[in-house]
Amino acid sequence: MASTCWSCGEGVVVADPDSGLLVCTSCGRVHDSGATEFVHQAAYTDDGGFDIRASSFVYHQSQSHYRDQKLAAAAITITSIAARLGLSPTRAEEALSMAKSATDGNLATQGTAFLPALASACAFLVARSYRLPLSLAEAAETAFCPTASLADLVSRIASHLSLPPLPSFDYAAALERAVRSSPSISSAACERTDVILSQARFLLRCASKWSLTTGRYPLPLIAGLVALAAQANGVTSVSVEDIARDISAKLHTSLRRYKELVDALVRVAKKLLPWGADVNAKNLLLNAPVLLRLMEMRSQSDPLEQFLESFAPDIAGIVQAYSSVDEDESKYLQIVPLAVDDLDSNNSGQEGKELDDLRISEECLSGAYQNVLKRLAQLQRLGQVGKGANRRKQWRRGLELEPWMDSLDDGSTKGMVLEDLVNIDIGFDAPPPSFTAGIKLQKQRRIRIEAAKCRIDAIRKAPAGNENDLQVVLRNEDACLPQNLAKKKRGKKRITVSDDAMHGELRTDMPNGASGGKKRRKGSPSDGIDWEDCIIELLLLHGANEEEIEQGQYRRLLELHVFTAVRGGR
Amino acid sequence: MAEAAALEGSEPVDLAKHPSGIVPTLQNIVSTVNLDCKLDLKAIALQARNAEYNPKRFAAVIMRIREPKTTALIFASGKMVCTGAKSEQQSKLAARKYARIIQKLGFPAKFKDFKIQNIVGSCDVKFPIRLEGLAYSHGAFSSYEPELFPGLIYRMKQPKIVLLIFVSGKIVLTGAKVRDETYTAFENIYPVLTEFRKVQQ
Repeated sequence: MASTCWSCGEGVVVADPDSGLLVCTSCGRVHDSGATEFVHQAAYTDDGGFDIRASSFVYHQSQSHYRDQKLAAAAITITSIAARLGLSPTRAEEALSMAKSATDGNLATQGTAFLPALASACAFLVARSYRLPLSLAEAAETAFCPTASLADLVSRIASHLSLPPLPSFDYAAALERAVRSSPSISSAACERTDVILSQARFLLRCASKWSLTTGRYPLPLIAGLVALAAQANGVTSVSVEDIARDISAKLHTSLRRYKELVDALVRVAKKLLPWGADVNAKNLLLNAPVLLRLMEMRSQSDPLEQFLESFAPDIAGIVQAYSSVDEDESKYLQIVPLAVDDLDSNNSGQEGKELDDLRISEECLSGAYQNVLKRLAQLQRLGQVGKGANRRKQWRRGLELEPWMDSLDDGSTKGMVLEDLVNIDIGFDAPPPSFTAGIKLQKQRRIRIEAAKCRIDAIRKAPAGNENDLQVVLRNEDACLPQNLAKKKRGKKRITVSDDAMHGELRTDMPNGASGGKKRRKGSPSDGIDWEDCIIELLLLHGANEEEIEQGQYRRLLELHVFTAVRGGR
Repeated sequence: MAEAAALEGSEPVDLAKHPSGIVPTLQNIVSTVNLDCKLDLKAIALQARNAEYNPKRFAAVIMRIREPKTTALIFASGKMVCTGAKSEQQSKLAARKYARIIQKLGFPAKFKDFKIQNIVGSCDVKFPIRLEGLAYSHGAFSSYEPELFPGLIYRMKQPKIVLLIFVSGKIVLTGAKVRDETYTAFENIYPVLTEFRKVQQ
């Protein structure tokens, strides 16, 4: 780091150990400690100009000290940030060397925003290359920078260092980390951590199957999975909020993922459980242990159809044998595809054998069902069913099923990527929520289009010249509204119309209609028609494509068909 | 009768041109034009309606018109960018209107080198797509980072179009200079999408 003497150009300038002055080792010239020490012959070009590029290589000893100190401080910061992100000392050193390579050994100045960003980016790259469960959001939070900025830095470093493509986010490892490191879970149910983890892994596979993971932030989903698995295991003190806080996931998104999971499980319960018709989002946790067990068995059974066919009628036998079920309760046992009549002795014997293989006992299932019924009745008496605030308390004495760790505990799914996790059959499949929502919206728009066409036809077919008739028609056109769509969004009431009106039987008197004299609330649609109906009607009149209207891109269509048409510039 | 015919619905899709049966709809056209004269942006901002100019924030006048509903960025060099049109014709018409406005403000504006710079289209294949599988098997062209963006970014080489593919089956195509590039890109990607269609059991 010592510079060359600018006087002789040969000797090296070093600090005199006695005086501390800077002296040339060749000519002995004492160099000033002022600005001249930065001057070096190499810093000047042949024509006397200052060569900035060359001067950057000239360092004074004190400058070298500063640089060393800067590098040391930056290195400490980088390793500490890497350690905070869960990297081992060896990996942290790797992150440091990566940061040095990325910055050509300069690292970054202490106190700048770039240093933590650089540290987080390098730690993230190292963690991801070793498939460690570090998310970009977590790294960005540690670096106090936006996720997008950190992602940009990560991609720039990766391209600068020509790193190979990074593996995708490891959900299984992230789940394990979330469960094991979550203070909420470890404090509430340390001994049940393994069960919770295995159930969360299984739920992750289900969520992947139902496309709940595709295109979603990983951490909120993990928070939802862990919270659901914990609650299904009777850990009532753990909520989504706690887990989201522990793993730095966005709370609102985590709650949405939790709700999506619950909704999906309710639909599974309706399909798999004999008493599924009674299962809803509010009492799902009561049924969760049995449901998860059944789903797990279903995913392992082969052939799958045989399982359901053989298992379903046996439930009736189980309940008959081990419990006293009255007629009202036994109706739940008959919603399965096969009727009880199909039972015969040979078949049931075979089924029993299969059930033994599947490791669920009849007593267990019967007991679970009885427990659910008993607890439901008990909670209904207490008036606690459906009250979310008391849901956690209800779970203090959760269902005690034999612990199931089975195949999920052997680590076989640990190293799986998400694509591998999807290939299971749990007896229920669902399209992605965004796809379902799109289809639903399109159907609603289709109904609106048909209603609009109905209104337009009513006006067209009205006999001209008869004002009274026209008024009737004009009134009745409002009656052609789809009553399903007339239901209120955002809690505001809309006028509903009868079925006969919907089917074209126009009524002449509408006492409860919009003209009934009732004061309309602000924002409520006039005559049951809202802005969307009006736009659809307008677009239809201007010849817009119905399929395009179904897509709901009203602005584009208005500009293409309505406003342009007025000017004749189409 | 014409209205009645219009109410009946859509025109049939030309299957020779669109074998998938789906025609991407154009959502935005970005075009540029050279007005070929230096402009006093402050004067324009003072005189023109629907114009805003904040040199500290952005060194161009932002002007909007209602018909076609577009926005233009007018620079002091005389270059202009027109965005927001839904068709190429609309974009050109809008650019001409902006040029006319500038002329009326006393500048010798011409209408040189009009060019469509970008066409954004979108469509819906009406089936869900397994983005993970697509990203895995088309890794050279795909970028799928759910931590950053919910869609898969597919950079097609020929034609040079970027596609945003979402799990819901919605597709956005951008980067085309002519409409046919958008159509070709979609017809190229459609078989790939069907391959990674999420099949419900």
